[in-house]
Amino acid sequence: MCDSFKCRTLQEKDDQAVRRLVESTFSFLPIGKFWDWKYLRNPSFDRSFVAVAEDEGKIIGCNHWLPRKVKLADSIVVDSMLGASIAVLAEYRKKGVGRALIHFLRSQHSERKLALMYMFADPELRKHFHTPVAGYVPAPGGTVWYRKILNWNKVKTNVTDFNMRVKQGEFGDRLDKVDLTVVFKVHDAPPLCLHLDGKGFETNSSVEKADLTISSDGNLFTKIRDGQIGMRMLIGSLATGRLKVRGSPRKMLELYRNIQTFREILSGKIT
Amino acid sequence: MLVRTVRDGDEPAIVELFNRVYNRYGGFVPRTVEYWRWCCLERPDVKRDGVFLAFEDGKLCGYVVAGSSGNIWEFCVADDNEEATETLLYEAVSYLEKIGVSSVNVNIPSEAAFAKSLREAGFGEVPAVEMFVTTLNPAALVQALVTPQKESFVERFDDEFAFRLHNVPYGVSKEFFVRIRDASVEIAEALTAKPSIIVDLGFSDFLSVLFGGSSASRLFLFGKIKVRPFRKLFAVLAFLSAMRLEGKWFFPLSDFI
Repeated sequence: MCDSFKCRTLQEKDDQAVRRLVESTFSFLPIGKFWDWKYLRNPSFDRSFVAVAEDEGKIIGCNHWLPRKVKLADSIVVDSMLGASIAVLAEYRKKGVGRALIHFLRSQHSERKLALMYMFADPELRKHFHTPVAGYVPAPGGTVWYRKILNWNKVKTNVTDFNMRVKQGEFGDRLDKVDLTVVFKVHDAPPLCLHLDGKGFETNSSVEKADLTISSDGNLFTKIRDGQIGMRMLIGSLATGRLKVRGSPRKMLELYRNIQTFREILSGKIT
Repeated sequence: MLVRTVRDGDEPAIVELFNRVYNRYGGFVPRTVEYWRWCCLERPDVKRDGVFLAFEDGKLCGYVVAGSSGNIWEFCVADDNEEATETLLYEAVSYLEKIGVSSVNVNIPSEAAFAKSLREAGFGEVPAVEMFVTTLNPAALVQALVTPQKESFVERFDDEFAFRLHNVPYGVSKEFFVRIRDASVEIAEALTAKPSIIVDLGFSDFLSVLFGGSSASRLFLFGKIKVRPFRKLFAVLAFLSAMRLEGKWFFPLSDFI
């Protein structure tokens, strides 16, 4: 536990720092608009439900609660709290700040006798942080997510940024010997052809000239891209035909060696 | 079928439709006009020309809220109306394509009939963010679950259950009791001096049973629940099972962010 910080409720003077902290932590949120809308303009917003952690005048962490009614079943609706936007500055993580923020809000509102608190989180983070600290368990299932890829414009933006970094010499001679063209055929999305060489990526290569063709459904593609599946599942997907890779073994090995570079281009903000 | 974008005054019909269509699920915020306006219309990436409403015989039969982030925040169609589903989906995707969105996300109940229309429109299932729950007051949670079915509990049980929870997180009370006697149910945080049944179990196990992740008999089989006197075991298992939430939960994307 880091002893130098203290927790308190949000004050107006903290708004700017908390907004910045939340938006930099959750990079997928629209900058400059999200925090104001979600909290300040929320009809149920109450500053006493937001805790900040402060270290020598600097806001280093925050945790938001939003009061909501939630339906549990047919005729059961309960007053509850959504635990949201818990964020800690990178250099203060793993020092007990998140835990202290949760404890602070709980002690501030202990008289409320809340029947339900809920949150949305990555299952891994939940297992290592939210369950030990706050006792969260999975809610009943029943929600399925669907995605349709319309184009690869964001991948092209990632490519432009990546090529700029190559030009600036960030990768040294690491890419000099690479000469690889890969086509990604994701179910119901337009094909994506990426060529990688010493100059960086190119997205206008001809599909016919591809060294490797990788075909899969969107779900599997996302899991591979995000590194969420292990070797066993990968082999299983190949064996069942859910994942198809066509090309020479030499080029497959070349892709394997540069997999992190491809992931960098395909991950994060393609959607 | 008439399709148009949202206008002032449409909100009450939208809210009524949402609450009716998703009534059989748990896990979402029941809509009020105030909540819906904030949650959808005032959302930073939503413009009114991305909110489409479908009408059949002059009556609202579906709507979709699409944002420039590529998220379909709410998708709601009455009575699995296939024509309304396909029309609204087409309008939303066309709108998002027109404003240059790279991909479209939508979440739906797992058993929804319109999943077929989504797949036909080129949507594929992707890994989802999950919802997690906890309680700050187990007695209040039990109260919320038991009260609506009070008659049924009174009919089935005539006991005084004292629950002692282990590994309780910070700020949560460790014990509570439930007395079901003489057609009344009483639930409180403190234990009485001489409860007729004492139940010991872990906090997470207790929640897992209530939210359907585990079952009371499974807890017993794995030695995670202790009941004194032992002869009351079946009453305890039946009591926990009676509180268990059996239905599916669905949260629209608009409740998530």
